[in-house]
Formats: sequence, C-alpha cells, structure tokens
Amino acid sequence: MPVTSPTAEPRTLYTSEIAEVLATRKLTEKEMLFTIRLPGGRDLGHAPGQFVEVSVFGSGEAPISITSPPTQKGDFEICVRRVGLVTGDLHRLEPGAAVGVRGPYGRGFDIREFEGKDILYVAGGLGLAPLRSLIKATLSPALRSKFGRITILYGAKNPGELLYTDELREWQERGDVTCLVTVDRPDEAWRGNVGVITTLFKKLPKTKPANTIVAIVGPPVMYKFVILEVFMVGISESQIRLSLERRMKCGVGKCGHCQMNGLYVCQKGPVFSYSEIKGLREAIR
Amino acid sequence: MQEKVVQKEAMPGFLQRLIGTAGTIAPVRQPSGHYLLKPVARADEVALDFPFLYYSAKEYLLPPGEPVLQFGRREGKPFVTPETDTEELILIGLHPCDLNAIWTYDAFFTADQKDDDNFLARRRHMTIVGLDCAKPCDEYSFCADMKTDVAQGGYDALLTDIGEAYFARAATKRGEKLLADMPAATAKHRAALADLAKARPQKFPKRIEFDTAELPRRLEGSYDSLVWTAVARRCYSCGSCVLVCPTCFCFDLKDRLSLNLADGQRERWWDGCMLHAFAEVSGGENFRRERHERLRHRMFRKGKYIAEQIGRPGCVGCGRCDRACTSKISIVATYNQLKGGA
Repeated sequence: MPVTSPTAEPRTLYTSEIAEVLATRKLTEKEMLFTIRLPGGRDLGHAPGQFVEVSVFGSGEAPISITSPPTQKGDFEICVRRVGLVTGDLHRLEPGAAVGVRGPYGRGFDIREFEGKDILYVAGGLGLAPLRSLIKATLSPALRSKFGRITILYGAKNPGELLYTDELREWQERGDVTCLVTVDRPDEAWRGNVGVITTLFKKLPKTKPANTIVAIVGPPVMYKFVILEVFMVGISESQIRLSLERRMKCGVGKCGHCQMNGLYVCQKGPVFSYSEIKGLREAIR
Repeated sequence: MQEKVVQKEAMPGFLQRLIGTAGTIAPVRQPSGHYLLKPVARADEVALDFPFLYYSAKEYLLPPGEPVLQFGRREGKPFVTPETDTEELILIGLHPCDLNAIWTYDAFFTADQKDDDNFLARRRHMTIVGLDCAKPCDEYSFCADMKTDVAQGGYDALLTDIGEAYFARAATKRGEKLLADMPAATAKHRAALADLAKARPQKFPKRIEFDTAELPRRLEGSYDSLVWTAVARRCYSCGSCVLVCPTCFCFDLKDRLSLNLADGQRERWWDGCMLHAFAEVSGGENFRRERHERLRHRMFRKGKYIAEQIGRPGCVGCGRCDRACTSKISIVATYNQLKGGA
C-alpha cells in the first residue's frame, strides 16, 4: 500500500522519490548490489518480479528489478549491471548517495500460486536478480513449509559472472533445496557443470510434473530452449511463469517502449504465465 | 447538449472575445500556403475555411519536449519538484479527426488506473472549439472509413457551417459558457444541420475496401504476410508518419542537466516506434530490429492495439502519414492489401 509522506511535494505519475543508497557491494566485474532506503525507511511493498524506475538525477532513469524478497523490511536491494549511462553512473555511487525511485511497478509473481507445489526455478545470467526475490521469499523460515521440493537451476557464461555465489553455496548446502549451477565457459578452477542451462535438465531430480510450478527468468534467447525442456519433463502450459525483459521506460503504461504486440509489459507483466503469452508473436522467439 | 448559432457576421467578434480570455491557438495560413495551428492575437488571423492542418493538435496536448520534474540540490540536500503545465489555452478550428484523436488521448492517458498528471493538468486548462467538415480534406483523407468524420468527443463546443451561420453545440460546461451569449438554434437551423448529415455519405467516399470493423481480424490474419516486408522495402524508418500522426503519442524520458552540473530537469520527448532503437533494451537486444517489424507494429497500433486497449480510435483517418511519407507509403493501400482472416 503506497503511503505518501506528509511533507512530500504534490506528486505526479513521473515523480521520483529521493531515496538513499545504504550500501553497495560488488558482485561481479559488471554487477553491483545496492541496498536502498526509502524516506523514513518506508516499506517498498513489492511483490517478487516487480521493478522500480531508478534514477541518477542528471543521467536519467532505468527500470531495474527488485532483487530482495518482500520479507526484507526497511530497505530493498537492486542488482545493477553496468551497461549504459544510467547504470554506469549508478555504479559510481557510494553509500549515502541519493537516487530517485519510482514504483514498484508491473505485475510480479503471485506467490500464492506456488503454495503446495514443488517449485522449479530456472535463471540465466542476470535473470537470477529478479528470481532471487522469489527464491528468498519461498525459502524464508516463515514461508518455507508452504512449498514442496524446491529446485534451482542457474547458468552463467563463466564462473566470474555468477551472481550471489555465497547464497548459491548456502542453497546447495540446504537439505530442502536442490541447486544446480552451470557455466558455458569454465576456467581452470571450475569443478562444476559445464554447458548451457538446458544441460542441467538431465540432472533434474525426479519430479511430479502435475504438481510442479516453474519460474523462468533469463536473457531473451533462453526462453524458448528452457520452455522446451520444461515441456519435455511433462509440465503443463499453465504451470509456467516467466518474466520478460522489455524497455520499460516510463513503467506506467504510457511511453510505448515496452509494448509486446498489444500488451504493455510494464502493466500486464513483466511476469506472465506461458498460457498468456504463447499466442503473442513478439513474446518469445 | 446546448444548441446555439453563431451568425457568420458575428464570428469575428466571437473569436475576438475568445482570444481575450486565454492564450488562443487557431488555424493560420502560412506563407507556404499550408495551414498550421498557431497562437493568434486577432480574429482576422484565424482561418476557418481551410483544407487541412498539416500538423494535428498533438503538440499542444503533448508538447514535443516538456519538463515533468525539476531536480537539484538546495542547501546541500537533493530535491525533486514535479512540474505541470497549467496555462489556460483555447484551441479553435480542429476537425473531427483531430477531435477524435483527443478523445483517444483522454482515455489513453487515464488508462490502467494510471493518470498522466502532466497530460491531465494541461487538458484541464484547455478549451477546445471544433469545426465540422462538409467534405474530406483532400485525397489522403479516409476519416469516413475509420468512422471518425464525425466527432465523438474531444471538444467543448463544435461549430458546423450551415450557410449563413455556424451551428454551435456545447458538449461541456466550458462550452456552454463559451456560447452563453449566442442565440439559441431554431428549427430552421436544426433542419439545415439534418440536411448536411443526410448528404454526408455521398460527400465522404470510402477508400478502404472493407468495413474497418474487420480491420483487427484482417491484421491478425496477415501478421506473417510478406506485405509488411514489401512495404517496408520502401520505408526509410524516418518517422515522418509518427511525427504527423495525431494518435502517435509514445515518448521518451530524458534528463537535462544545467551547466552547474547539479540542477536540471527530467523531460518528456516525443519518440516513435518506427525509429530503430525504440524497442532496444540495454545490452543490445532489439525486439523490433527489422524495419518491417516496426512498420507492422505501427500499423497494428493504428488498426488494432489502441482500439482494443481503450475502445477508442487508434487511427482517425486524417491521412497525414500518407501525405507526409517520404516514400509514398500509404496506410490505406497497405490495409487494402491485407486479406488475412477475410
């Protein structure tokens, strides 16, 4: 529930709030984790899979998915890859810096749909950032008992690009989680799986397809191949959730950049069920 | 709906009174012979008998570049101040195509329970006086096909030339106030208006070979047609169609920094889905890399997506895109080539 602070100026649809960077942590050469606090420590009130428009005033805004779970109170986290002007300037910020925040926006994952089911998470590259929000929520002590077996498949180009390596280790050590990680190109020190993400499906623990729900987030090229594997396991169309990346410039369904056929992804998505998008020609190639 | 008349000899006085109350924008003949919407100070600058406006009223509803936010530092602390435009403005002489486009704006910018405050602030301070057409503007018009030759909304008052006078209908309180001093329409005036309406179908010939109610289905059925590739071979992706289109309202948000490198403003600028980078995401993936994908997307927006989203016209048949195309691409001819689902 959005709350307006009484001292705030009259806000418009495009008004960012000034938030504070509490901490930064370098995850890889390209990715940085930011902990951000809204004025007064107000709760962002997001669902996993939602995003915020983050701005560095003077550089502009960028849509960034929220990587912390809703169970984290008082602040939230975003994982930012350095690719352009805004993200480049974000990477230069130090704790204490001011950033603009609008949101949360879009439709995220509906965690209730996952209750009572075995969960298969599939993340490619930076796709782990939004998926981590849902993974951490479902693994949280307060909620864990609501879900069955949890399996996490994660692939990155090379070991240096793996995100959240400390948490991956934690998940791998948990008895109630199967966490399989692969890289396309190993280095000398890599002892794990080698190959694209679909190669992990061979190592998938035996699943009950009728009671399994899948959440997939990754680069555009990944979806088709992963969905094929998911269908080969016997899971049905209605049990697949995926988050689609588009250029969500305004985040509020007006600017047109994120439109996928007739849908504004920032309004109807970014999280969709496969049943919703299978007829949309621009959704998955 | 209040019905009044403005006698033709009373029109200059009527216009001059409007001009006195707020900033007034009206059709003005340019040295080139084109007619454009321009600020006017005197009634005799206003042209009411013009073939068409080269540009729509888009620039007054959604300026090409407008500030939405001021930001900076005050005594070392960062601040943001939202910016809205609340200047009173009167728009005169908009044809039904352009009025219907505004009717579309009104629904789009309040869609999804998300009110675009910048659009709405401006719109709430705007009075619109429409001007009916008795015939199509020129050979590019296809308003009758799109069923937009009659204004369904987007105006406060609407003038129809009935000979010695303009029949004047008020659609809003604002319009009623505008026409308060005008004499009421009589049975004779209403009869003249009815005669014009009866003569309309002959005066507005159709150019699309099918009922445009079928357009969404035809488009869907022709999604994979090579028609798009063929038409796009002539397209330069220059965006002229987007620029002149009254219902192309997509935009970009950019920051402009002051020379002190601390203060600045966030601005909304026109953008267009025909331009190459429109659907590109950071990292380089472009969801409409091919020209025919962009051309198809725009024509789908015009003929299907917008109408399906908000139930109002996505294309108002003004013909400006065809008139402006540097390569003589025609949306009418393209729609006529599509037989998908037919």
